[in-house]
Amino acid sequence: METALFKLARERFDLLIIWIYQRKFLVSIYVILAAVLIATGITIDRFNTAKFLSDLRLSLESESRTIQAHLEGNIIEQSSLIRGFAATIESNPDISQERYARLAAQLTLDDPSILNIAAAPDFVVKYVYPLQPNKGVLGFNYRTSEVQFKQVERARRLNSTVFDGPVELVQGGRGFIVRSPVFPIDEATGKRSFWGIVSIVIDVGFLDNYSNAGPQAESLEIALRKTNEGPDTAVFFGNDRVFKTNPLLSNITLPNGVWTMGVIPKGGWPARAENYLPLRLQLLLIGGVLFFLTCYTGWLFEKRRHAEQILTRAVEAIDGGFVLYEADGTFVASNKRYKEIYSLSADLFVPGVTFEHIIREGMKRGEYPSITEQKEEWIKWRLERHKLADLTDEHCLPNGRWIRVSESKLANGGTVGIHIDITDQVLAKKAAEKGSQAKSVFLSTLGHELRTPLTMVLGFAQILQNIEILPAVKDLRASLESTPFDAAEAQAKLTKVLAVVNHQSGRIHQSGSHLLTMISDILDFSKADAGEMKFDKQMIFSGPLVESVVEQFEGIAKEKNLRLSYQPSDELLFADEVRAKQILINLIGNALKFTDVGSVSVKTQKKGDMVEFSVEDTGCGISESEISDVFNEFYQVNASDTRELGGTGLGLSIVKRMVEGQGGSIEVSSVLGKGSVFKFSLPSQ
Amino acid sequence: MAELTNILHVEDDPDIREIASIALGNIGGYTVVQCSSGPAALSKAPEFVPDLLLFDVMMPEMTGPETLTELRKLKGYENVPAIFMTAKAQPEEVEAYKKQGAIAVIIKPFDVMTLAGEVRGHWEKAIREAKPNVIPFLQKPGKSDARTNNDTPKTAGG
Repeated sequence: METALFKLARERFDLLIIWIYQRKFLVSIYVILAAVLIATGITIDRFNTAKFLSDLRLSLESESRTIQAHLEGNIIEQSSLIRGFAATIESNPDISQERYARLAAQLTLDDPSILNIAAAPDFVVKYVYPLQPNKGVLGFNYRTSEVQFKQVERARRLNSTVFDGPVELVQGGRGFIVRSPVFPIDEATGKRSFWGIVSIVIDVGFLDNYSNAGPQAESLEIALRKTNEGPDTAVFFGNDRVFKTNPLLSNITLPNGVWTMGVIPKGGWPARAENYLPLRLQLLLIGGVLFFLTCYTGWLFEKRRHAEQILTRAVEAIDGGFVLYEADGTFVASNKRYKEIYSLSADLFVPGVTFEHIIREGMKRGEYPSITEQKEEWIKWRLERHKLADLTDEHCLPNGRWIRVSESKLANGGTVGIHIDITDQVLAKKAAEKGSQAKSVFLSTLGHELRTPLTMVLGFAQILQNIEILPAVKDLRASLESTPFDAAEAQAKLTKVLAVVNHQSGRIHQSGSHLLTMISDILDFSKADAGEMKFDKQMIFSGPLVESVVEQFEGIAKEKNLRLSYQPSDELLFADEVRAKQILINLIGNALKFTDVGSVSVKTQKKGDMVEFSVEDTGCGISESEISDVFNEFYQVNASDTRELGGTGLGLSIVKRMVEGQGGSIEVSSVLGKGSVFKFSLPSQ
Repeated sequence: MAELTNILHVEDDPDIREIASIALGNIGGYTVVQCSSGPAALSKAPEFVPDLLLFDVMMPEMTGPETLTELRKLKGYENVPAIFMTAKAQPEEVEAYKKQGAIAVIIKPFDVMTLAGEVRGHWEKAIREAKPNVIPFLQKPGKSDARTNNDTPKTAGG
């Protein structure tokens, strides 16, 4: 089962490969188109993603600036607050715990992110608000914390507010500390002297507020890090991966310091644009439609090309010339055969050339040798027929071939022409006409040849039947009835009557014999024509055969004063004696018939396995144009009404068939006015 | 009514001439002048103008139609009715003979006993259909009814 499936699949695959190979051009176009469409789709998708990210970045920049402004504003506010608080302390360095608490409460009332406000005269925390949960801070000496002391010392040294953090708070948790030094004026000296540090501790959580500062803040992820402060550059707010994913960066300016804020969309920068799915679907759809349309166009193109190929092959396969003209009479196309037929005009068969030009030029070049007169009229007639596309004409080419032209109108007004070589048909028709004419002449001649002796037979028979009409008979009767009866006179008249009867009955017999000969000829021909002539072949000698026939004609030769000679030669041959004699009778009879002066000589000689007989005469001879037809049935060399010699026209045809029927051959050579030689051979064994 | 008396018969076959002579002369009673060829007829023609021309078609030297054409050129022969008596009698050939000026075609073999009557019938038909001024010799006086002279053969070989 698997083998069968595998075989089927392999066959299908092979068919596919063949299909692809056969249409490699088209398939290549499909592949290139698919590649271009895919590349274009990817480019558009990437561009869309880039644009989306660019837009998002722009949007986040605005958001980032808002957050930056809020944060910096808050820090400045806190700084101002602590600075104001420091100024309050400066004016009242010996502030009581209660007043401190009141002032601090007023300051922190609105801001829950402020964890405490502490004051540390001489770096030791003495005041803190709120006391809970910051009580543990009281008494904390900054000098005991190298890190914190460094910061407070810095504030003192710079005499400026310092923002620090986030730091691990003494009371627990993390927070930012904004410190400001307190330099009250010594009333005694009028100079400022360092009192201590006031600080506000802000919960790190306050930064969360800034995450919600903008309209899109919820979708943002913010990270902060200190700038250019060695190990403190570590991210202190947010995830440090923010700074690793190409964030939007902005500086947060602090009192005596700078933070770097990194902002990215929550979850990181998106890998795709928001609209990637509909866009890709659109691209897929457009690409699919484009590909489909291209494939469909290709299929139509292929189909049309295939149809054109079939049409071209069909047109080329036509056993005739095919030509197509536009409605305006200009050449469109033709097949190879058409160009072969009209080879003298082949270079004119170019699209755009007019039919009139082709015909006129063809006439000049001799394409239409059968048009010898009124050429201009013929051209006009031809152009008119072409225009009407209503033509069936035949004409002869320079090479003697005959062409039948058929033209038809197309639906678009064009003309299609089919040019068929009908030479064989024309020749066959001519041969048939010639045969028909010969047959017609034969029938007429045969009728004449039969009716003429019949006229004599019937005429004389009728006269003898009504013998009383003859004057001699009337005379005899008168003599017999005369008184006195004269026996001698009656005897003489009877003799006269008998002579007439003898003459007429003799003519009847002669004509009857002539008729018998002709009927025998016709029957022989009929048998030979049907292939039913039988030959009783046996070994015979040529000498006695020829002698017997020559003897038969000696009387006629003598009558015509001709010399009939036979050169004695006794060859042995294997033939039908009766038919062989018939052949000789026919040839010698013909020779005597057509010879008025001179001689007829008969010879025999052995030639290889054959015995050749020749009958030579010095008669009228046969013209060159007629000699090839003498053995054809019904053919007579002189068939005119003025011919002196009769005959059915079957004799030589029968002779030929009788010779060939015995395995022999016959030929003739002749010179008009000089004589003819008929030679035939029969097998010697 | 004119009479049929003299017939010029041109025939190359002596036997047929003999039979025709008996049929037309002995039986029909006409004066039959016979010639064995066209040229012989042409040389004989100036001597007399017959009432009817009876020609064979196939003859050596000149055919019957050729002889007729030549005879028509002679004075008095312009309108003499002509009949071809031939063994070449295919339908198209018969038509052709008539076009060449024959009033009728008698096909060989002919009936010896009725030939004279047949010839006369064709001749009379031609006379009836012809205008008198076209065939002036029809008005020739002094001719007796040939049918009454059956016993007076006046044949002549040619």
